[in-house]
Amino acid sequence: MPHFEGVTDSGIKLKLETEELGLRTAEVLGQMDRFRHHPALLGRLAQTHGASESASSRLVELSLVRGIHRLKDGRPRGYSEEIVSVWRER
Amino acid sequence: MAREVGRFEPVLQTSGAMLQRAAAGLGRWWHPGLPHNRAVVFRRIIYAFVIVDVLLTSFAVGWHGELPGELYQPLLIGRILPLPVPTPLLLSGIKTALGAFSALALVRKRPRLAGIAVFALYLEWMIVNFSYGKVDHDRFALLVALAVLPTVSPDAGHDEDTDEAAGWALRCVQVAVVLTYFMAAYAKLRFGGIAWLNGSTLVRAILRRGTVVADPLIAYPVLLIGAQYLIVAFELASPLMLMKGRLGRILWWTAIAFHAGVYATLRLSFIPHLVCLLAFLPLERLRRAGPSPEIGADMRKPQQLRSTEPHAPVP
Repeated sequence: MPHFEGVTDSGIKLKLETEELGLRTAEVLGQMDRFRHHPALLGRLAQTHGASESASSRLVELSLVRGIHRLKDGRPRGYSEEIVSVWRER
Repeated sequence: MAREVGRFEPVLQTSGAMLQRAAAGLGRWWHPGLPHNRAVVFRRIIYAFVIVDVLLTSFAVGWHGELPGELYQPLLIGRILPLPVPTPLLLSGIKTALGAFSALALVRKRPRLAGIAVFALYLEWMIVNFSYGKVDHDRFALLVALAVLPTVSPDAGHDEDTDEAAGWALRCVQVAVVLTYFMAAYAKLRFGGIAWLNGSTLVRAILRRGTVVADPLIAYPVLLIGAQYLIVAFELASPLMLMKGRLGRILWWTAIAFHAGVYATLRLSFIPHLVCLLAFLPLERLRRAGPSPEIGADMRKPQQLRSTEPHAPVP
């Protein structure tokens, strides 16, 4: 399951579900490679999110994180996360 | 030489006659004489559903207008047609127009024109829905229904008749329903190969969106693999739903049980597809049981309500 992690202008770290940025989970999975190779897309998402938020909660950093479940003999055995892409405001 | 030709003539004539009979049989199958009222009730359900769908079940499409245009990755049809990148204004306009035209079609005010408008608008609604990295298959039959319903006669005077045109429209929806299942099996085998059957697709689905019913099943991978075999078997067998009699009914009820199971375990509703499954039912009975016919409806004798459809519909 992918999700986003953001840092606001006031330094608060946020965990954001995909829907909070207007995308369904499967849509993020479908465009995962684009996010991986074009972090600027995260910047555009952050700007869109910021348009409806107050100045202090404006995102200055946004990461796309993918959860990975490991299976053994068809049963879940462990969970890890991969940071797919990171955008930081310059 | 002449004798050689003569020898083959009866064979050719027989083959030609067989082809003619097959074509005629196929024509009858595609144009079954069904009660016009069945299509009328189905049409009402479909247009009422579109209003509900746009407001409730596909509301997330509206989110896309707020997204950066770079994330819009139009489907092939969206690349061929000069369709604009979605904006909040565009999607609000489509939503409003869909509601208005669906309401007009629902109350039979210029139903053909309104129906064509609903189809065009809903097609664009779905192009937007599926142009951000995810394509669902649960709305295929609904789109087909919206495409064919404007061909059904709007004349209320025919409501009590049997009608091959209405039969054709309903048959198209039935075929689309079946293709939704059959092509889902094809997609699984096309992309996952035969190994899909023994894979961990259901485990992944449960980890992602499992319910309290499904979560305990994670401990039984063999059971989930068995379920994957059953799903593909059902999808491959789905064309039997088009057959007359008991076999068709069994497949129809299997589909209902399948969707109930999927909803209980994964919260996937397939509502647009379920609405189209109603095309297999004798919906005209709802109308006969209703309070009164529409104004202008031609009241005929009961025996004229009988369907000429060779196989009994699902009761």
